[in-house]
Amino acid sequence: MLCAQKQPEGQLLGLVVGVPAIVNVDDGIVVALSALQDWSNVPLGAMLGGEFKCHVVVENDTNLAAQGEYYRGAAQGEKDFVFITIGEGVGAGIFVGGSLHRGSQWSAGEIGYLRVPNISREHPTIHKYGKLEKLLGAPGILKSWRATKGPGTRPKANHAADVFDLAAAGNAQARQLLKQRATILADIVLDLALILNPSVILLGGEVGNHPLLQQEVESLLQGSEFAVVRVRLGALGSSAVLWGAICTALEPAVLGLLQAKSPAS
Amino acid sequence: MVKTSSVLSSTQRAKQGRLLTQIDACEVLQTLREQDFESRAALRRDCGLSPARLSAAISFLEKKGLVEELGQGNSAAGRRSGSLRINARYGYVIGLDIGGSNLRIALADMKGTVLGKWSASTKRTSSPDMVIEQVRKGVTFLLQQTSVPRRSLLAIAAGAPGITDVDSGVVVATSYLRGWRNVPLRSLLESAFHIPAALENDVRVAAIGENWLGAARGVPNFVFLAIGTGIAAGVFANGKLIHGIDWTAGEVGYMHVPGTPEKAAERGAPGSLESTIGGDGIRQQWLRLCEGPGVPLNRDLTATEIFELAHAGDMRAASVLNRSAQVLAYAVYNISLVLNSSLFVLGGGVGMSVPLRDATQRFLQQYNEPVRPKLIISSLGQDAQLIGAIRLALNKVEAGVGLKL
Repeated sequence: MLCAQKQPEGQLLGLVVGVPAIVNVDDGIVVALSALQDWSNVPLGAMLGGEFKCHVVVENDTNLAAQGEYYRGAAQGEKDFVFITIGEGVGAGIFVGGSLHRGSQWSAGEIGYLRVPNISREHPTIHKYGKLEKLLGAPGILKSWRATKGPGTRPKANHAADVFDLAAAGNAQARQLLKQRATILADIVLDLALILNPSVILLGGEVGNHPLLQQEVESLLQGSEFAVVRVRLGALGSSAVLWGAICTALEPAVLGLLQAKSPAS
Repeated sequence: MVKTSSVLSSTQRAKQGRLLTQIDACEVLQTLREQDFESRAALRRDCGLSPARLSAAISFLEKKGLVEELGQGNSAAGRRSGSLRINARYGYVIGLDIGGSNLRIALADMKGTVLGKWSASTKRTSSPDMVIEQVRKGVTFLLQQTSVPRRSLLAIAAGAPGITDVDSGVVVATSYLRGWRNVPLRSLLESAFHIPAALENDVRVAAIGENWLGAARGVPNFVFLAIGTGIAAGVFANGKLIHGIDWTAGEVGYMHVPGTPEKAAERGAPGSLESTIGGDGIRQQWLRLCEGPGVPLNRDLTATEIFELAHAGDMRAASVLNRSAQVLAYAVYNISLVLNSSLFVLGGGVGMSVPLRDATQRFLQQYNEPVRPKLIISSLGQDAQLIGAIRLALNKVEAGVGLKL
């Protein structure tokens, strides 16, 4: 890309990387990654820093997506919000008081392991997707769709979003499947709303970013007795992580403007 | 290099210097909160300030009378070097715990040492004016008892049971003190005592207490979980309380976990989680067992007594304990997944039961990572709120000192 833009490598000031993993942002270490078992305590920041002579930040991809929505998307001006992504897996990026909440061991928002009603109990290990994640993620939805029996022929769906599109077009079985997933998602949203009392909860990701799912979840929550929260779709779609990475790269600390020691003096 | 002199006038720079001293003074005060220091050098190691800046901050605080330096001698550098501590008798503060059935008041000095306590029943005191009147009575009593002159009172702070708007100092709504809607409690206290007042939700106040002097001393990420008749959480994230957009963060009594009723509760009724493992929910479970076959059971037990009975080996009580611990473990696990908090401090009448803590911790131990939260019982017990309120009042005083240069 630098070649294509005819820019010398020395002009590169910052590099921000999003990974689907628990990341120690201070040290640039990928602590654990649920899909790839080989990744455990990988010093990705140091590795990339050796390759590119610039400031490197490694961050959880969902946290970056939340940053993106905060700076450029549907969460502009919202200091307390949650971005839930549902794609292959499920995760949340949490903003408290205008900045990301990462928790005491960098794993805040790992909601794929939540124990909610309607899901059988299973003890997850860190390298395995949570039970909830298995159901709610794209593979789980496609699996359920393929197992669906009913009157007439079942239309083909290559992506989880296709199933939701079929629901929107009036397919009864697809509608039922969506309703069931929305029930689970509503319980997750309720937990997040009660614990954090955010101004809005955004849905994103290949599965989550669907208007019908959002409508269904919001109508399920209307009856809840406490903490009625706005549920909206993210505005940046699949670009949210990239936007978050760019906004992070443009922060003064990354650009080297806020260094502990001034190199000049 | 940019020359600051060309950008700022000398007046601006003097102002900047004063501001820096104020900030440093706050830092020094916060460090002295934890302990006394035997010398300036020892204090400097903890504050990380340069000798000149530390010296400016200390003389600022000494001039105010907030800090005292004892046994001053002359060190080699000619700089004074005696032991440093907060002047406990600089002034006094009042902490209030306005509960559903009791009003408790404590008077403390600048180091937070409680000099006197007073309490009264609030069962027949429903209106805010009547509560203020009771507070007035209690404070007068405490001032007499401790021989503290009224003008030495510097601030007052209260924990209130309900949704509390900390910015405007208003109790938005409460379920215990009937009729409290949008009560401007902070300004009521300020006009009653003519001193600065602070207000916070009772569970968060207790969390402040535990973070200052209790089981979560200095822990930046933890959850104080109060389980009594209701259930609520006070959450510390990165050393700060989470309040939420409508001041309702931590209302976890309404959470849904496996084993709680699926149907949404009516507005104003206990939430799903608290109807299962709140004090009344546990007694309901027990009463159902009392209706069943077998040796007659004592129907009039509290949740804590039922758990003690389970601990003593009673099988039916054990089934209640087991079910409660399982549901509590789910709730704790879910909260810790969302926040990645590794420490939970349990408080409240039910939450402080040791058998409940032990059984819940056993359930949590069965889960694998990503999180394995540790449960500990509040070390301040029912004083957590009073201690937290004292801390809030002291914060108010310290902030005021910083502002009035």
